[in-house]
Amino acid sequence: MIAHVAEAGEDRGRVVLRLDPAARPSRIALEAAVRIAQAFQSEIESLVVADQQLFELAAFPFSCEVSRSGQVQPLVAENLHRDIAVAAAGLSRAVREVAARSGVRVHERLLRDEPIRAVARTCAELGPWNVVALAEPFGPGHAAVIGQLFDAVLGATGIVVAGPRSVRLSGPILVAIEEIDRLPPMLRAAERLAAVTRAEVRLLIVSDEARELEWMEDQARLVLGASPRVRLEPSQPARDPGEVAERLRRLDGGFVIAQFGGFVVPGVGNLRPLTLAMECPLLLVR
Amino acid sequence: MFFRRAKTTEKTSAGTTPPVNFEIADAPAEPVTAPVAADAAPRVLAVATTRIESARLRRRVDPAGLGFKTTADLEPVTGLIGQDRALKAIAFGAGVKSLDFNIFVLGPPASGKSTAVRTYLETQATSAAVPSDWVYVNNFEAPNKPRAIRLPPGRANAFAKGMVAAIDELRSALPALFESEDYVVRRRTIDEEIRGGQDELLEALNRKAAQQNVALLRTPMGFAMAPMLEGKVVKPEVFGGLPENLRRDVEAKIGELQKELEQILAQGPRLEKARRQRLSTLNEEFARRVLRATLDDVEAAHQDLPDVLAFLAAAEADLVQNVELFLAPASEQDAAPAASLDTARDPRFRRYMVNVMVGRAAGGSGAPVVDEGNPIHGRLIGRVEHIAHMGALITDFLLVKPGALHHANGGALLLDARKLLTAPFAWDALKRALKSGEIRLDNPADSLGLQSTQTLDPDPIPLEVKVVLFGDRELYYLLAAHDPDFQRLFKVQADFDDTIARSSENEAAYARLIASIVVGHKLRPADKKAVARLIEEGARLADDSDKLSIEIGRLADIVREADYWAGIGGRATIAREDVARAISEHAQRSDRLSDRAQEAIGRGIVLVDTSGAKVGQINGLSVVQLGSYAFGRPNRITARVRMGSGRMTDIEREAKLGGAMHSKGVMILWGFLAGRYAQDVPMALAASLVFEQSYGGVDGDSASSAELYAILSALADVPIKQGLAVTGSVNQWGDVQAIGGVNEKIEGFFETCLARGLDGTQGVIIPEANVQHLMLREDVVEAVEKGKFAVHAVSTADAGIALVTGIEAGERDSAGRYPAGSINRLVEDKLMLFAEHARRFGAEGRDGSAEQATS
Repeated sequence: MIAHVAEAGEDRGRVVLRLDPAARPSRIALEAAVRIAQAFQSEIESLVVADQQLFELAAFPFSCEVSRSGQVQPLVAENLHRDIAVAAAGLSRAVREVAARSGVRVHERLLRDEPIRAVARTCAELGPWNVVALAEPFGPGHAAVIGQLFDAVLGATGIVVAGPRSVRLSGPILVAIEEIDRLPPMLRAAERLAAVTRAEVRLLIVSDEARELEWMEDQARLVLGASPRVRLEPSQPARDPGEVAERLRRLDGGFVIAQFGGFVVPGVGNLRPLTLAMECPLLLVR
Repeated sequence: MFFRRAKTTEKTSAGTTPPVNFEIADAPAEPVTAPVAADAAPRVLAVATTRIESARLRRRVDPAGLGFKTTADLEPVTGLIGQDRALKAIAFGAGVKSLDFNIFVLGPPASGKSTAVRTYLETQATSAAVPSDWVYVNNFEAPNKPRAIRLPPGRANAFAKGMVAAIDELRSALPALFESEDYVVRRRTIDEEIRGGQDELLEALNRKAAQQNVALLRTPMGFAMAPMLEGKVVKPEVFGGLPENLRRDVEAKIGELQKELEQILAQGPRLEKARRQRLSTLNEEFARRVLRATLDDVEAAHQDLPDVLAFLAAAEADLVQNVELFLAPASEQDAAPAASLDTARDPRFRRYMVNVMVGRAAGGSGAPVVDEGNPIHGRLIGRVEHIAHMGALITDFLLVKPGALHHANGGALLLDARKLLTAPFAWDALKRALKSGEIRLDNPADSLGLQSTQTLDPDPIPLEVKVVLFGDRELYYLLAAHDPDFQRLFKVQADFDDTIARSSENEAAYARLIASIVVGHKLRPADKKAVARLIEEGARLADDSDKLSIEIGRLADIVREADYWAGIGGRATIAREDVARAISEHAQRSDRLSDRAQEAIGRGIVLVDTSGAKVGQINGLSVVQLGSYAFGRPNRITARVRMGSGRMTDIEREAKLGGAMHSKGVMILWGFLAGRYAQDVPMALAASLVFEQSYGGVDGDSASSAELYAILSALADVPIKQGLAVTGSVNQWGDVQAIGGVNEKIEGFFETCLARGLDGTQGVIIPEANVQHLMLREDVVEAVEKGKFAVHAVSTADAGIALVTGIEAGERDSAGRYPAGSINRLVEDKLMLFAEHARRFGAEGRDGSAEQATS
């Protein structure tokens, strides 16, 4: 649950942007990380992780690398080291360019470790109020990875991801509420994000039961009071995550804040409906 | 310094000159003191002279006869006066519809011919058919060969605007279409079917591998597979510790899985291609819906033009293929500047734009008459421009720029021949266009190999134009002599006269011409006396009292300057005195050298006598031409004679200061001497002739009569009156012939005499044939009227020598002898004496002295 991200100048807490040298970064993901940093007046910790397992694999005599076009070649540690260094330099440059346009400060680090452990180590080192941002587009099979991150990285309050179809950051901040007690902190996060672009905040209450939905809406209205800055979207019982994802897409959001492991973003299984529908980044909270 | 030759045409008009009044000459102002032949005293009698009446020195205009008060009463002239022949030629040339019947307008500069021709052609053009519009459009099959399309007049701009509007519409309609739910769902389905399929295969392989304790890892270049235990890649040392068969088993599993991975990934390019194809088909399907509706309007407006319809069809096909151009860029930051660009300037849509080469106004009338003042190659033929992009020069059909030929196509193009010929490549390009009948854009730099960048080869545009070149006669004749294409392409010669005949009708027309200058320059009206003075100046500019100059530029300058002086004088109209002042002020601004020449004479630096008499010395007259300004001045010519072998030493020629015409004149006078005086005896004469204090060269034969008189004086030993100056050429029969610059010459000597004081004996002797050219300054005429100065006209050398010496020339009697005491007798006797001495000198040998021979 996101309540706070360390502000610039504080020693503890950053937006930890994980960059995978094996994947092309999503430009929207980079900008989303910067937007979060702007909203919370924080800084970016650019973290390039060279997967230690690849170097271990390279030590095997039979290790091979299959290129994306299906060509096979031996996996050589020296080549791997060189390729990662080159990719890391490119990734860091891309992050600096995006951050510089918004005036956000960037710290850089390159770690050779197991990817999730590297993020966990970094977040632990930087303090409890971190947000992890994944630079690579998330795919249908990423639920497990995100789950592992939430499990392993104790020093992070949320994870920012962008799907392969993400194309924008402009538009309302959409908040998908599945548990009413999470509404206040998620709403605060949404309002901070909305303040950066003067966007509108829209709440979408999600439940598969009509009665539950009705009750949650009533509770939400109580929380919101007469706030003109937040609009409550008309809700209806959701039959499956794909339907919710499609509803979110049609709202043309600039950011979606949702709970990980719930109805909208399941903690297990296939995230394909979400990856196909999401045209803006997601801020996932515990 | 040179002596101007008279025009041959001028010499033929002697018949129109009134009969010369011969009269008894006045007695010489000073007694002739030089020795004469022994057998007789000088015959100072019956000297035939022609003192010209003052009325004939300047042909005046009677203001009362003009029939108006000021030019405000006159209707200005709209065209040229007295140029019927040239105008007929232009009418003929303009009427012949052929590319080789172009017109060359010959004539003096500033004669108003350009304005007149343009006015004439524009008048004719108003009733001519309006020529077609022309555009260049993209050739989608070969972009470096833009297509030219002909459109009915007034339609090109509408076509271009229609295309801009259509693309504008598409810029908003297509993105909206591609954001529609309908499209998004269809597209997502395709992505899902293809990309999702590969993702699922990879995911399935990942699961399968995991079940077999094999990890699928991503590398910077792709994927790799590793043995795994409890979700972690097994370390090499651990793996090495496993039993051999287990290791082989794992390796085999990895090998099989790797093959599957290869197969899945190998499908990637094929699947991606299939995805692109399906998306392309989907895009085409959607795009066509909007394209058809959008282009319908343009198509409907040009249903009658197959070329336009063909272009629209090609554009539509291209739009379908390139619909992504209209979709918002993936980057939101990129989208902002792209959206702000005007469609016509947006590089993405240039290929659909229309380059209007010639676009007439809708509803316009008449054919164009284009006057290209700077006919350099690019401005004449058109050009292909380039723009710098990423360090390279690139171009496209929109950078094809029209030239004067495009604008004048279907009408007339007016060019200055000299500018055209001095502009590199322009003349050849014009000839190529006229010969081929089409405007083909070519870059001279290409032919020279100076440029090797992307360029275009646009369709040529058919050419139908009448080219009118303006130039002087010299240029015309040079082109005719040296360029074989010239006479083939410019078959019509419109020759503008420098002058018109001075008749009462033409004087009236001249007054209207002055009125048009007044109106055209918004000047004060000129009163009738001022107009009369201007007409007289017109005759002076023509160097002929019977002609009027139509050098409109100079005339306009005088009128404008007179207007200025009228303003200074506070007059509402231009008066005669303003015109006179304008003329004299103009002369004063230009006559610094004239002043210096007269000053040198006045101070005795240049020796010229204007009184007394001297043997073998005479005042010749020369004209100095400085641009548009000319002035005359006297020159002392001297002759010395002695016994010799029949040789004339022309010192100017020997010193290479004499021109060919001057030498010719000297040889002619030598021929006269020999023919007249040495028919039966050897010409035992050696004579030398020189222009004293002349250091800058002499040309022309107008001094030959003066030179003859100097030699005769020297032979006859009879002095010449220094109060007279002489001009005129002579032929071998002793006829005095016309020369040029007669007015300036007379005025030059008048200035010299005036400075020293006019005494009534001074004057100038001119050829009789030049009397008709006299338009002398009013002060000269006034001096003649008062008897202080004289202008004499002679037609023979005998008359001339009698006038300058005061002694009768004499005619042969029945015995073939000249009267005793006459100039001719004295000369003949002297030559006989030289011959006799020469004979005796020859018989006695070298020991005999010349002194003895002549005693």
